[in-house]
Amino acid sequence: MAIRFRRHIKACGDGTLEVRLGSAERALLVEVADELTHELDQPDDPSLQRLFPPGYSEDAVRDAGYQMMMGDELRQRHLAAVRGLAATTGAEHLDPAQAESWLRSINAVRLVLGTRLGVTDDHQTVRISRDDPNLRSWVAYDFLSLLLDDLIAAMSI
Amino acid sequence: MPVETEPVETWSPQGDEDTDADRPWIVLVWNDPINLMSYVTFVFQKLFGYSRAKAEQLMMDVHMLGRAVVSSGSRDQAERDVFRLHEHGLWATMQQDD
Repeated sequence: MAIRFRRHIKACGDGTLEVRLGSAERALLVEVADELTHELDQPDDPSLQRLFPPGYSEDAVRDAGYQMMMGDELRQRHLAAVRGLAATTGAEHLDPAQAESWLRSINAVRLVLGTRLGVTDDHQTVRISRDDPNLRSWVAYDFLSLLLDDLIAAMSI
Repeated sequence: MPVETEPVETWSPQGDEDTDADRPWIVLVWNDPINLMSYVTFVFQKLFGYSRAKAEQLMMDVHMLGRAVVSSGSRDQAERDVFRLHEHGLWATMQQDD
């Protein structure tokens, strides 16, 4: 287990959060926010299925009605969150509304990446080689998981 | 309060839609391999106002048992809760209580 000396997000006590990220980490956020924004324009992409789950598990007719009524609204909410992240990737501080955008959109990116990478087990330990074509995605997934955990810890105070 | 009441004949049709509509709806959250345990706990606290202890217990039920009932009520309330959970990326569905 890695010992972490420093968290990426710190609560300031006045309701705002301090963001402690380097330029490479911020560049990664720009990149994933941009990707998700474009992907949300193609909601039929199977990697996005976790962002649009069925509402009724036992009733296909009611579920179709639910999707018809709420599907686009859900897409708009996901888009609003990721736009909120895209607008603040360089921010040193986040207000509560911006933190909320980070929370939901970083989790959404993890859901898409995790689906694409085939993350299937809660406790899997994956060995990734240096020439794995998905290396970059695994690095992003790993980093976003740590960042999300830090964000939750700071928002919970 | 009345001590004695006349027995009242009630008509309870089998499989009638009205009777069916009286059963409450439950909102289930299902286990998934991607959402962090800390995230699921945080969302339960945030959306439903549950204490940390209750939210953690529900999260553990989802994690260990595969699913947990996180809220119940009318169909409209359940749809609102399902939508808010979907907005947060949780795998939630609704169904009528058995």
